[in-house]
Amino acid sequence: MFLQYIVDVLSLGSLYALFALGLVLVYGILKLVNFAYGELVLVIGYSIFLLKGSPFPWFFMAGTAIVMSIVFSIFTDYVAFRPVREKSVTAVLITSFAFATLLQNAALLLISAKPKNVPMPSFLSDSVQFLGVITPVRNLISIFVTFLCLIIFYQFMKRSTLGLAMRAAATNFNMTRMLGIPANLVITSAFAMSGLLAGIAGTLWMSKIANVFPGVGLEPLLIAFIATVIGGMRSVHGAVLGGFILAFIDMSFNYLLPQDILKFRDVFTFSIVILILLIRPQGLVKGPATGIRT
Amino acid sequence: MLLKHTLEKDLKMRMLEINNLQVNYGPVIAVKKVDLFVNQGETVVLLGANGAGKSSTLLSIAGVANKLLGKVEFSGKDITKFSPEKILTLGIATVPENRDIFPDLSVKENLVLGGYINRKKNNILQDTIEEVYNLFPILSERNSQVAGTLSGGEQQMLAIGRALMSKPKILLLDEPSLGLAPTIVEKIYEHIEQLKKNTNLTILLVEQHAMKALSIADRVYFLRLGEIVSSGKASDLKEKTDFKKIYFGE
Amino acid sequence: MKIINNENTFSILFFLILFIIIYFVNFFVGSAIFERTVTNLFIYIILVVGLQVFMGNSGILSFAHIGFMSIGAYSSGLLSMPIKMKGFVLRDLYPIFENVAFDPILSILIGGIFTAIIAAILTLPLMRLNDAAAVISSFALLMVIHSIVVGWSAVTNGPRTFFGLPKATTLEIALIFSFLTVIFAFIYKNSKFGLLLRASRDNDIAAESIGANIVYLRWFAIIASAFLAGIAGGLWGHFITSFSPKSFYLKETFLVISMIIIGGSFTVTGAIAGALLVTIGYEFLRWTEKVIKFSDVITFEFIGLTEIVLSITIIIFLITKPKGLFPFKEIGDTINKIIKKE
Repeated sequence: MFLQYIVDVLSLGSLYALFALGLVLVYGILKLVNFAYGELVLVIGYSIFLLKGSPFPWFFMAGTAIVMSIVFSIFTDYVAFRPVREKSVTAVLITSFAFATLLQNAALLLISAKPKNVPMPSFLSDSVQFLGVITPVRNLISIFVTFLCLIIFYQFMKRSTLGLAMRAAATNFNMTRMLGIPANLVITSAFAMSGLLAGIAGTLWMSKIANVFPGVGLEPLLIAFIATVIGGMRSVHGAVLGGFILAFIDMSFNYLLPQDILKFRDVFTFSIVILILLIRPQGLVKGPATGIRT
Repeated sequence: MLLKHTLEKDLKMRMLEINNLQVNYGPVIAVKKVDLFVNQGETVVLLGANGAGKSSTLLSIAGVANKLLGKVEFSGKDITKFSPEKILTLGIATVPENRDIFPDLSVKENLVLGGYINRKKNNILQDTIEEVYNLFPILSERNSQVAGTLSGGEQQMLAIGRALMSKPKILLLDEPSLGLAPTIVEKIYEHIEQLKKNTNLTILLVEQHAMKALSIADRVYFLRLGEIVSSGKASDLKEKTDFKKIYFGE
Repeated sequence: MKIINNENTFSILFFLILFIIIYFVNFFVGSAIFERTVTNLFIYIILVVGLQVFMGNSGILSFAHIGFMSIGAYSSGLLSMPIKMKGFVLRDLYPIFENVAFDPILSILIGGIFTAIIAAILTLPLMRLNDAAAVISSFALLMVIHSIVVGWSAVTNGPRTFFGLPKATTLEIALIFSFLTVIFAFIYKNSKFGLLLRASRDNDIAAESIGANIVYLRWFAIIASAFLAGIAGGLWGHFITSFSPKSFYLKETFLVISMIIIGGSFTVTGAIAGALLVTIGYEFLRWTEKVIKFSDVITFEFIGLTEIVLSITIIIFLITKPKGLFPFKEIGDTINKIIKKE
């Protein structure tokens, strides 16, 4: 029972952590709240859905969907952020909100309001049993893929010059530019990586819910938001930690609370968000020292 | 006043020239009118009290001041509207006030980023790091330490070292003495002097600490309330006893 | 600046005349659909001007506004719903409310006051937050309110439709409330509280140095703003007579934000203009959607166009005219200038 609980928290938490990491990347470097972030999951879902009839193997479809997610993430920068970056925080927030609405309604207009089935390889839903734990294969894959992504991500941020430049930009954007590091390179890389992480997480998310509809991005967006506020809006470690904590809270509620109280779960998690913003706005893990909005 | 235009007749190669610079931050005018030039191989000092507009002048050369009017020329090229990254690639490196090192990265990582424009030429990058370590041996000892844990003086050395990593033609140095103990300031200036001797680097130095700056300067400009009020040879100035008068504008 | 000055008077008079013109146009058109649209417009004006009271003067975007609207709609509906309907709609209702059926207008007013009280309790600590933290906390507040509305089935019927409200909101009532809101917004904007809050919007350090307590100034503004949102919610509830939590969520938030951005959040004139223009645009696009749907040219369902156009408009506005159509000057200022010239 306890082991089952651990596996459940880890598999959910790994997904949440990936989502949160993708959101915090852009916020950490550019101090921009990306309300259109959840729509990358919409892009993933519809991309796979639209490739359904094609003769390609599933992994190719998923790969294409992830590329689409990266493309759309960079596109978000060009449409919603770049033209208004000089203006107020509010302006940037509203443009990303508008862009999210635009994508949702484009899906509504061009495809359908009804949920569409997203094909998934059948082995993902097979159950495996070990040490008294019964869990679908996709949960184990989620854990595995997430830890792999985190290792690659941390190595990239630590070892590559671009990774260093991104970390430096998160501390002092202007100083990195004064060292000859192009601002656009850093920004586009941040959005591309955000799209990649959301793409991978989104594909895993799709394997769980198996269908896509215009409002599909809201839940991942909220998850990423709550997790980053809890963990620390400016720290990548914080975002990952926040993802696991949120999964722990959600899962514990599922295990412990009766149905009629469970429906107030969101009240609780969003109250935590407000409390943290009030008491410890930097979240559990503090980000890099300074951070002036660019 | 000082001998204002004697040096302008010298036919040395003009490296940097600023005409009619004005910088505004919203409604606040930080720099009213600045004209100055720096010749190749010179060390020029911009002196002035706090808030005189020294840093704003330097930042506008580096390309990060918000709104500026006037003209900044480098080797005869108009760079007024250039982006900071473009300006660096031309050979202008900046050590800003407060040093602005990256506190979460190691000393080595800070230097690697300083050499970003040479990132693909691995041997040049390695050699330059070696040169910086020769100039500032303490940094070599601190190689893998996180930069935020360095002392103020060491951070200043790192900031200078990081700027040198791009192999600049001119170094813009903003108040290297700021917030440091006198003995440390002494040391930093020794290093700068050594650097001048070794490389014949052109330097535009901004200082509040006048005596120290004058000891290494060829020429001086005085900045007061956003305007250049006088200028001259550093050697002439050192002999004058009334320089405090000029400095404080009495 | 005095509260009663030429500019204010001219602005208020202008909108009085405009509202009366709209009223008579409706009278002569004599179509039920048109009257419906116009009534909706007046309710939206209350909502958007209500948002302007907080957002325009403090400079902080609030996502919670539609949440406050829902509190007004549900609480007034709970009070005014006929006793017979209550047993039908809300089976698990608490006994205290079972035999309550107030006059709808009284219920709407109580709903507004109740919303203001809730806002007063919830928002005081939030008022010291700035920038992204302020916006995210208001967003979280919207989510909290929404989740409570969805979860608290005993008084809201949960995610299902809340229906059976008496249809009490007429065009005249909406117009009167709307006009009173406009008067309030102008008076507030030029009162000591409004002036200080606007000073803090432009420069918070300077405003504090002259003794303004920004937290309390913002708090008063958001209480007033929530009261108006609650009233708008009550009026809307008693106009539409049935709604669900979905009626007060992100789509509606987006609509209200579009209105205030397009019009300009710093001026009351902008808020009203935004409500007017977006309503006109919205109705036109809805009509287009219907025409396309019923013509046999395209056979699939044609929805979402309205939101697409609206979101593109907003993005264009924020790039080219970030302060909206009426960035600083109220309509009264312009009229005053014209009169002085002659």
